[in-house]
Amino acid sequence: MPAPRTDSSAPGFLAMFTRRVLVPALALCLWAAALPVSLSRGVNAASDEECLTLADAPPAPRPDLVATLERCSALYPADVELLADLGAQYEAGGRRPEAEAIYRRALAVDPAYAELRLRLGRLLLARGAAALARREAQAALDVQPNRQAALDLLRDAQGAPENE
Amino acid sequence: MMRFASFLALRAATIAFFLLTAAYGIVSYSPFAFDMFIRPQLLPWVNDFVAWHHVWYLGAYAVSVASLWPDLDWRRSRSGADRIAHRLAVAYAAVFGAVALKLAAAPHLPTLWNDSRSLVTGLAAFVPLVWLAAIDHLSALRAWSPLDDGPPAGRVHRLLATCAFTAAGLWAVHLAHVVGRQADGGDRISAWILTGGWTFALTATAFGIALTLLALIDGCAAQASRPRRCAHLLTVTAIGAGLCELLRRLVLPAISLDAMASLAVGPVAGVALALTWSGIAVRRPRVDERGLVTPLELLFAPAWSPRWTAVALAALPIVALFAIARVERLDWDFVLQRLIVTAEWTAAFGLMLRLTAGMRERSWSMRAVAIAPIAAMILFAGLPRAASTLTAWSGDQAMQPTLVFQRHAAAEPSFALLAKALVRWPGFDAGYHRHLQVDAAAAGSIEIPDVDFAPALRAPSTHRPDIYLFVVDSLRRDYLSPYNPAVSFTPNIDRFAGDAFVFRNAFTRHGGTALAIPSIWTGSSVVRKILGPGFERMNTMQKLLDAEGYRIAINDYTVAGRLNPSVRPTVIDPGVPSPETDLCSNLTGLQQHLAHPGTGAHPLFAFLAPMNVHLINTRHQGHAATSDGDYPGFYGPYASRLKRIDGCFGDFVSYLKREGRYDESIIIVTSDHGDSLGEEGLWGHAFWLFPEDIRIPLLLKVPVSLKPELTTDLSRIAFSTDIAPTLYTLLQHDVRDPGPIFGAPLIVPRGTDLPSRRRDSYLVTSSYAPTYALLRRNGRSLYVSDLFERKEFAFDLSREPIGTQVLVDNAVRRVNQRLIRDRVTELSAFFRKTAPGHGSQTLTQR
Repeated sequence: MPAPRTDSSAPGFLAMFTRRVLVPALALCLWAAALPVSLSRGVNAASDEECLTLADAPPAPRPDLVATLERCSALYPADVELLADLGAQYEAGGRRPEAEAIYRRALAVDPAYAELRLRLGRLLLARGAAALARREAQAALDVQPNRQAALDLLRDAQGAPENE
Repeated sequence: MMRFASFLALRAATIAFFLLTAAYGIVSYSPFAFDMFIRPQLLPWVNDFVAWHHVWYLGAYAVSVASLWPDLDWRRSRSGADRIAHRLAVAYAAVFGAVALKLAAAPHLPTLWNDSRSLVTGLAAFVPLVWLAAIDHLSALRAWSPLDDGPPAGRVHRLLATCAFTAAGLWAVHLAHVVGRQADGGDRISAWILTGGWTFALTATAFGIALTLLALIDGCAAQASRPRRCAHLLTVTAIGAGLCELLRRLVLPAISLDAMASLAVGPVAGVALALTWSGIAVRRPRVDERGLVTPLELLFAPAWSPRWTAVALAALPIVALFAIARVERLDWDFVLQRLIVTAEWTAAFGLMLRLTAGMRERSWSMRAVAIAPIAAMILFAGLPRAASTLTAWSGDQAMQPTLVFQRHAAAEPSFALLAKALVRWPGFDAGYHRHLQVDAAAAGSIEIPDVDFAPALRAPSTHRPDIYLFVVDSLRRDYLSPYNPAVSFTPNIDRFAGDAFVFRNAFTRHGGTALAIPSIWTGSSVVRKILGPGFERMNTMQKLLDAEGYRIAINDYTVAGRLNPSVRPTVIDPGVPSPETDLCSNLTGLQQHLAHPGTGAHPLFAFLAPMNVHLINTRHQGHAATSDGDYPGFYGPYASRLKRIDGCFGDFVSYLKREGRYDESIIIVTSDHGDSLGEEGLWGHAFWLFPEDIRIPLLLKVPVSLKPELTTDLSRIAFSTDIAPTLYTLLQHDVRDPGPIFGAPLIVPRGTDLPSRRRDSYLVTSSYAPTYALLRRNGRSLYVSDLFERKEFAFDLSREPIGTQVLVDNAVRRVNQRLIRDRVTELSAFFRKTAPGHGSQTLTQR
């Protein structure tokens, strides 16, 4: 059995009080201040707020946006809306091969993006790849049965000569 | 010793009875819990308990009086506290005997409803426990007094050893359990090392805090004139505060008890339980073969031999893990699992305290003793940062501590509970969370506006097909073959899909049935209390059915009782408790209804919401599937039940075809929400909004004659709230847009384009918890804010079948939190329009 406390002199009491009460109390205060430990720090990857919201609204044809869209689509290669907007800007600027390539990239991520299939189909048809355009129209119809724009593309592609 | 064991058994029975009574009263008081558990009579044994409560009370009373026998013995001469204890015991016997007679004459518990009487009953059930504790303390004072001036409560080095051994043991066992469960996940060894270090830091920190607190109590007690009594008092106070916090943070939020009631229940229950604990402890023999036991031993450590204590300590994790495995499928927001691990830690500490009783005295300095908690603190604070730095350096996001923890340790209730208490997850923003909480609280008082999808419903359409809407509770899309080629057990639904539009990207707007089903009827996101007075003003589906002269056949627990009173729906399978609703039985009843003469004058709207694959039913037989089939990669009990109802669905479709009713009918197969079936250790769907919980199947068969005239977009994000406006379109009404919280038709006439939803964001809320989610990018991006767990999650849903978790970084968090805040404000603002007719006016203007 431990011996009972015998030292009742003031310095002894103060020392014991400090050691046995103040130190643990201070430690508890430290715990309370330190907890909960935050995991926020260090979770600040190279994400870009502008890029995350850039495609929240469809952009008007603006050549000045192309550079931003290129940067953002490189940062978020799976954001098909960014890719769609970039393709639309390329088309508006007459850069059809780049637009076609971008649409293909977007469709590789989201094959059911019927609107892009139609845009790609129109580009293909314009350069004479009627068979490929038909394929895109058919793929769009699988997702959007009876959609008039897809039926129109299919009809145009069926009537167009194959130049490739 | 035997005498104390008998006392303990008697008292345990008494405590169990009064705690059960208190729990029933408190659960009944919570509107949410009452609707979820009590009203549908979810647990049969609870019904029996309530029905026979007065008899059980008599038994508990007899047992408690028996435990007080030494205090009631009138032959003994008494003085001081002993005499007061005797009088209190006699009063206890008289007062609660009178209550027993009153209850026998007029049982009380069966009369409880969702009102303040339930809360009063719940709180009153603690009175006998406090009374008994008072008698126990007064009775023990006589025996305790000579020992009060004994030595200080304990020695810090022994506490250190106890805490260290307990922490190390529990950490090792639970980590092994995690490894056993998750090792086949394909993670690299470095991720597992991080998990090991991180969980060790969590456990060590928890016990470091416990050690510091106990050292402080020991130090304070040493200064007192009666150190042992003081140590006991302080420890019991700490236990009471701990229990109060445990209830307030863990248990009461899970039943959505309001803040005021929590403020009453937490402290009352904490104090009552701590006093009960203390009362039993002071009745224990205070001297063993080593001499006087410490107050801490009195409260925590058993009086067994070291050998038996070691056996118990070894068996403890096995028992705990077994208990967790038994309850995890029926648990509600991990409450039972977390209570089990709390009990496990407490018991492990007590057992270890007993084993360290034989330690030799050492004069360790406080400095030496402080090293372990400080080391734990440094490890705890430093490890995640080191891992984050390593991640940034290596570019390997798989090493992010949040992702690693979520993948491995979050599935283990003990580590999850520690992390909940000790870690602030990325994304916890007090202002944002307060905003959502204030908004949720404001939703307690709502105004339901008068809304419709058509400005003025005209005379019945010429073409009124029968409509069959099957909302299978908890049906997952990836368990249906039209969505998942690996599924072989739903051939009939697969065949049906050939005739239907299969929406591949469908979601519920609410996790949990309580809001999900009403949202289907209103065609909009809703808030709690939507099913109160005024629901019919927003019930757009019923407005359509009434205007078109449909007769309704329904089997649904949520909405059936809240339909417009002017309508008398035919209830299919009446009287069947909601957990037992069975699609096969429903369809038999529906066929009988269809065959009934005189029902042909009006078209039929059938709404069936069976619970065959709800967790309530799939858990009953554990992992053993009920059919002979093998379901590799799927949860057997779920898949087997689905296989059965798929057969019944196929039979019903054949019946409709035979009767010539199939081709021109509208048939919709969907669910109110999905379900977690063990993903990341989660079961059920009540509190979280993970991909598997919010993705739903949506198959829509339209009349054959209409199909060539319609167009749709099967890849567009779709919601169950789109069903009602789609029916408006199919019945040839012009549908307007009543606002952003409403659904829209999934189908439009050929030649018209559906508006794109790819740029919009959609709010999903839990029916039962402060959990919010945001779907963006046509449903490819999911962000979840779990206010209850204070965690944020992000998922990429483009990967089948249920998507993958991705890192939440600061920009992702800011963007999503801002949008969630906007959508929540939009939703609550809609229901806060107070002026009469304000809702309609605004909607017309919009």
